[in-house]
Formats: sequence, C-alpha cells, structure tokens
Amino acid sequence: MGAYLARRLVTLPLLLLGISGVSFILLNLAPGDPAEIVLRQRNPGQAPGPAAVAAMRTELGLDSSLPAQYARWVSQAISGDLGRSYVTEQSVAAQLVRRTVPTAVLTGSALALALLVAVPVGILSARRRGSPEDTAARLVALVGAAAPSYALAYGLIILFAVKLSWLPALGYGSPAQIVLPAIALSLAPMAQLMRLIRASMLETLGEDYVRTARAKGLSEQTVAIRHTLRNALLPAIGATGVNLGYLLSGSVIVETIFTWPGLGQLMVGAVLSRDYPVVQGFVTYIAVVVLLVNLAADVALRVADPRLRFGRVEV
Amino acid sequence: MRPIVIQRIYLIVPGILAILMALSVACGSASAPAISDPPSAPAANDPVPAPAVNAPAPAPTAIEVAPADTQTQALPAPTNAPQQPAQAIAASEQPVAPTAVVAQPSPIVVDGAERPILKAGVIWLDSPLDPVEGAWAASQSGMAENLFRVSAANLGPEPWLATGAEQIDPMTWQIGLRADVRFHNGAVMDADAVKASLERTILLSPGTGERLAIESVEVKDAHTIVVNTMEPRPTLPGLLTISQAAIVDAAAVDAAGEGNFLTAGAMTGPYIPTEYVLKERLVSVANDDYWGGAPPLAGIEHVAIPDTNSRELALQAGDVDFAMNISPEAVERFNDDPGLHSRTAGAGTSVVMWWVNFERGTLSDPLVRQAVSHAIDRESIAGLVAPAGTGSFADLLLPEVMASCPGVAGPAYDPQRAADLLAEAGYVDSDGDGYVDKDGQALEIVIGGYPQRFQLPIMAEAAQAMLAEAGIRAQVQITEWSVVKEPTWDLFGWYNNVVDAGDPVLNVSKFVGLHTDGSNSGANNYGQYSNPELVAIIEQAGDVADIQQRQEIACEAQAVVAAEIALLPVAHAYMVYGANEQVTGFDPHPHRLYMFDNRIGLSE
Repeated sequence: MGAYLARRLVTLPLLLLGISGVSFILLNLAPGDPAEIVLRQRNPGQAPGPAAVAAMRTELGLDSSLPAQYARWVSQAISGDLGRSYVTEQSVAAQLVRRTVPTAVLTGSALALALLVAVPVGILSARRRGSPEDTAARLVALVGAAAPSYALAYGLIILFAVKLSWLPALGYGSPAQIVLPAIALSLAPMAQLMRLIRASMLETLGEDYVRTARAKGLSEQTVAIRHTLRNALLPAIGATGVNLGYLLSGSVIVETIFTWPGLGQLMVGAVLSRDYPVVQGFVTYIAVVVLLVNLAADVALRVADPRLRFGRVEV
Repeated sequence: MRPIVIQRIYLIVPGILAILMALSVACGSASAPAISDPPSAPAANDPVPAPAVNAPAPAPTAIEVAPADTQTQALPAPTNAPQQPAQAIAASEQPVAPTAVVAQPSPIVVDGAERPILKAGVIWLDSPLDPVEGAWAASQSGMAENLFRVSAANLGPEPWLATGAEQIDPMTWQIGLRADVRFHNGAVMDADAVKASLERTILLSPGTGERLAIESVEVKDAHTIVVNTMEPRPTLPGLLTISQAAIVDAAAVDAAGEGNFLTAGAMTGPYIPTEYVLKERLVSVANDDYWGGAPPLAGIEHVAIPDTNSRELALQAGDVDFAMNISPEAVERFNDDPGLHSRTAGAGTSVVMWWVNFERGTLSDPLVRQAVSHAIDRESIAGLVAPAGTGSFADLLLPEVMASCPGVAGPAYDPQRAADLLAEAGYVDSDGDGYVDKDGQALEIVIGGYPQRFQLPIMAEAAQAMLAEAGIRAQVQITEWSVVKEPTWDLFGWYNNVVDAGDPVLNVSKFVGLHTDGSNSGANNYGQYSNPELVAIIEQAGDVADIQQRQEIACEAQAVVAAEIALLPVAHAYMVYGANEQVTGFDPHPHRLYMFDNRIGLSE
C-alpha cells in the first residue's frame, strides 16, 4: 500500500507538468496578441499604438521565448504563485481560492444528490429486474445521461422558475438558489451511477457467495444489503472519482447559466477575454483537484477491497 | 471499518447534503465581500473586446428632454435646491477595491409612500466604477454624467451638465455650466470642479487626453470655463461625451484615497452607488437632490447575467424587472406575454458589416470586388440578422438620423451584373464544376468573422450561399476577432459602434481614413483601404464645427466608400430591452451609454 501510494505520488507532478505544458502551448497557439487585448480593455474606444503594445508585451513578459515563459511560469507555480490576471491585475491564485467555495458547494451538493438518488434506485432496480419500476428507472437514467446539462438547466428554469414560480431562476446566496443548479448538474452523474450500481448488483447477485448466503437461509434483505451491496458499490466508488472531473467541467456551463460565482464562471470570462494566466492557472488547479480525488478514490477502493490490496487483481 | 462506511451510506449522504446546504447558507451571507473581485477590471462591456471603438451592443437610455439643436442653449432650470446627500456611505473594508461594501439601500419614504427598488439584469459589470478607468458602468447606470451627451434625436452632441458651448476660435471653446448641480457628496459643481475633473481625465487617461487635445482649462467665472486646445478641435462638445470625460469631484476622489471611488460621492447623476461587487451586482439609491428632479425609484439593483438566455428567463421568472440586450426571439416572446414587453430604441448606433481585404489580392481587383458585392443581397441578409424591431438594413455605414445622404447608395443586389463583371474580369466556368475560374485557378473567397456576435455567422453563411449561385466558391471561417489582422480573409464580419463622439465624419473616417492620429481616424482600417481622394474629403472637416456641414462631408465620404466598396455595411443594430409591465417611464436611448435616467419607475 505504501509503495503503491509512493508510486502514484511520484507520477503526479509529471502528469501535472504534462497537462500544464499542453495547455500552455494551446493557449499560445490561439490567435490574438494578449498585450493588445489588455490595452483595448483598459482603454475602450481607442486603438493602442505599436509602442504601447510593445511596452505591454514587455510588462507581461511576452517578449521572451515560449520555453522561457513556460519555465518561469512553472518555477513560480511551484511556490504557489500562478501569476496575475491580465485583466484585473489580481493574483490568479487568490481568485481561484475565492471562487472555490461556491463551486465546492455546488458540485458537492450535486454529487450528494446524485448518490442519494442513484444508490437506492439502483439497488431497487436490480432487485426488481424487469418490473415496471425498473423500466421507469432505466428510462429516466437514459434521459439523464443523454440530455446535455445546458438543455436541462434551461428546462429546469423554464419549468420551476418561469412556469411554476417555485424557485428563483438564478443567483447565489440563498438555499433556494442552489436547488436548480444542483439538480441540473447532478442528473448526468446520477444516471450513470444508477446504471452502474444496477449492473454490478445484478452481477454480484449471481456470485457463488450470494448463493451460499441464500443457502444458509438468510433473508433476501440481509443477502442484498450485507453480501451484495457491499461488493456492488465498489465500481461506484471508482466512478465517483471520475464523476468529480465531469462535475467540475459541467459546472462551467451550469455556473454560467445560473450566474453562480464559481470557478466555471471565472473560466468562461477568462477565456473570452484572453486572460491567459487565469486560464492556465484554472487548468492546472482543476488538474490537481481531479488527480487527487482520483487518487483518493483508488486508495479508498484498495481499503474497501482486499483483493486489490493484495495485488491479486490489477486495477 | 470499510463496511461501516458503506453500510451507513444512507445516513452519510443526507448528512453531507445537510452540511452543504448549511454551508451554502453561510457562504451566501458572507459572500458579498468575500467573493467580490478586485478593482481595476477590464473596461469593455462586452466579451468581445472588440476593437476599440467598436463595441458591443448594449446600451440604453431614455430620450431626454434636451434641446435637439445643441450648442449654446440653456436647459430647463434646476429643480430642488441641493441639500445634504441622503446617503451615508460606509467605508470599505478592502482598501483596493471598488467593491466597497456599504450601507444597505434602505427604502426611501417620500410623501409617506415607500418607493420601490428596480432590479435590472445587465451583461457584465466587470469594469471599474471610476469613469476615467474606461468604464461604462457608471454612465450606463445613471450615476456619472458628462458636460455633453449624445442626443437621441440626431446622435450629435447636446448639453448635459453644460448649458452650451461656443467656439471662440478654432483652438478655443467657451462652455457654460449648469448652476444647479451638486455632486453626490453635496459639493457644488462649479467651474473649478469641472476644470479639476477634466485635468484628472487627461492625466489618468492619456488616450482620452490625446483625443481631446486640451492644452488648458481656464475658469472664466463660477459657471463658465474656457478650453484651449493644442490643435483645432471643432468637435470638442462631441468628444466631451466620451465616458472617460465624465465630470467627477476630483478633490473628493483624491481625499478618499486609492480604491475608494465609490465612497467619495464624486458623481452627479440621479443614482448614488452604495455597493459594487464586480461581476455580480451594482446597487444604487436615488439621489433626491438630483438637478433634474428626484427619481421615482428608491434605487436600482443591477445584477450581472452574462448569458442572454438566462437574462431573459430571469425577467420571465420575475427575478428581475428589466433586462438589457435581449434577443430577437425574446422580443416576440415578451410581446406575446401580457406581463412583459420589449422596448427598442429609435435608431441603430452600431453596424454589422464586412471588411473588404484590399491587401490579399482576391478582392483588390475592382471588377471582382464589384461582382462579389452585386452577388450578395445585403438587404435580405439584414432581414435575417436584424428582425423587425431589432435593427434595419444599413446601405451605408451611418444611420439615417446621423447623416441623411440622399442619392448615395451602396452596390445593389444584381446577379446578372455580377455575372457580367466576372466575365469582364476573365472569370468563366471553364471546367463545368459550377464555379468560375481563370487560367485554371478557381475564384475562392474566404468569409471570416467571430462567433460572439450572433449576426456574423449568419451573414457569412447567407453570403456563401448567394456567392455559390453566382458561381463564386466561398469558404466560411468563423474564428476570433483578432484574426482580422491576419491576411487570411477576403470579407470579415464586424460589429462596431458608429456614433462615437456624436461626429459623423469621425465615424466614417475611423474605418477608412489611413492616418492614425489622436482623433482616432483610421484606427480600425483593417481592410487596408487607401484612397487619397477620400483622405482629402475627410481633411476638409479639419476645422469645421457646424454639424450640418460635417454631415455633408460625411455623405461625400460615404459616397466614395460605397462606390469603391471599401467595406460592405449590412445592418444597423438597435438597443433592445425587456421589462415587466410595472416598469414606467422608460424611453430607450439609441446609445448604450445612457440606460437609466431619473424618469424610470415601478408602478404597484
């Protein structure tokens, strides 16, 4: 276990270097000179002269070579300095930290909601395979997995805010305002988890030890909860880690639609205004979060499943 | 140990949910200051930081009383005598943020009746409040005012905080000031204060300083200033409409210190800012000592909703009373809804057009250029991108009310003429593939644009189909506005303001004049069009102050632009707003800079 963890932790920085390097190159391939964009934003209505653009390029450090720029960025990033926004001149790290809370609240609620619904429904669906309940649950899961989050988001606003007037359409701050964005964000992972749990429950129900448990005369209830569910949930733990990445990227759209002041909204604004340091910092930050969560999920799996711990099955 | 976690998952999950909910409530109340973004933000109000002069679309306001024939005219007299400004403004915790968190907008009670607060859905709110920092926020929201503003009637300058302006000689203007204006902090706006404000603008916004070219400001008497310029500035009143030149109490801003603009009470408009959280909300209370009369509202809360669909739905759901910049689809939807309505300004102040590339070769042949322009039915494309009530066909760059040019017209749709011109240029379909070619080379046009303006992709696709009918192969490349500077396109879709500084000549010359000087002439000439005849026409305007004469010069210039196909205008875009039925007194101004004035109200 210790060796496994050490191996994973060693590859982490390499992965981060790769991810940040690719995003750095991609950002620089995009057309448009950030120096000029910055000048135009600071002086709307005026076209900056070549001298002003050159001075701004120097100020932003854009006049050195691309590898040199990247090397400088990496060395600063290691000490926690992700640079300053071209647009607001504010520390990127500070902006990311400040906007993490709303995003954590939203993605956390969405994930909790997804689990809360998916686990019982998945189990029920498996135990009553082929019943009308099962069919209905599978249909809902199919729609949830297939509908894009922006369509769900607008649909929810139209239904619950415009037609029924039960909930506010957007905003941040009151408990009522989290309901619609959390539902919009949770439906896809909810559907996926539901199907996953149903499938692995069905698979586990066919295992020898389940038959043995039944043969011992245990009640169906006990068999399902104590012998089947425990094993059936293992894939769901792994999927939850992967889903967090989905939730964070999905939040870019959902936050924009619901004007939720989180990381996703920051990212959209930064992309539109060519605010490279913010985009670069965001990509790296999210990569760290997703990698750590996946690591935690893998460790949790090993803790939960001795077969993995003793290396009999490679995952 | 693991089993416990798994077995109890039914208990744990609701627990987590409850904690998160509690957290969200806690964050909600704490969030105002915490989440507020810092100061100095970008200025453009649009995601498309489109080139300078061109801006985004939105803008607002009500048509004002003011005399249409500008200069030297006294405005209606002041109303109530100024008293102490109603609002106590608390100090900001964050020294460097415009975000000062302040006193709550407590409802103001007048004549025993509680006045309502208007909630307005706006687009970005990411620019600083201080007008000199390039922001439109303060002008748009009825907080900051200039000496002059763009008139709703002819899109030329009209007096605002000034009573009029008189040109003494080409380098000297005398400007009269209203005597009844007080800043939000109670200080009187006199000639000294205006002088200090203009000097502050020149110092802190060098670009604006260059355009104004002010050498010195003299105080003639308490309500008159004399402005000396470094070179002739016949359009000085128009230039004084730019938002960076808004009049502020410079002494109070200095005294308040860096980052405390909001608490300085340094502006003059009908609304006083009380709280500004960048990218989230801007809250104001009514200025009951406003020189134009106290507003019927207690204040306005602006909420940033960048997504157009969300902004429209927020209005339909009743989250806001008012939404700016709504889509053509929403116009129809709102007008069918008994509780809502849309309001459209009387003239378009932005244009959607194509740059024509004179540098790349394909269209530098005048015959091909003419053929292409006759093959595109711009008027029917205008009908696609500017549905009824949201815009109109732009045969020429400038809107009709700014410069009416009888007899001047752009290339009309004429497929036969296009075919003849192509043949004359040597292009025929020699290989029978349906597209013309010459010397074995097919004629191919690249139509560029950027996606943030919904009109541009529609224009490109429609033109592509029309060109194909004429036998011209066209390729659509919707990428990014800065691509306009790379010689990879033949036509490039563009969205631009055309009423800058209320000057018809400037708004033609900034697209096609070739000398980039302080006046911004030629600032955006991305097609690299060069014509000495046109430059000579524009130069005639050098020291002409008379607006009518300037309109004539602008018409002459537009005639050359149209004949040479220096660029291809398609449609003028109007400011379009949505509001619920309770909103009263809103009269949309064609220019986005003036959204709210002291007449907008909310009925019960």
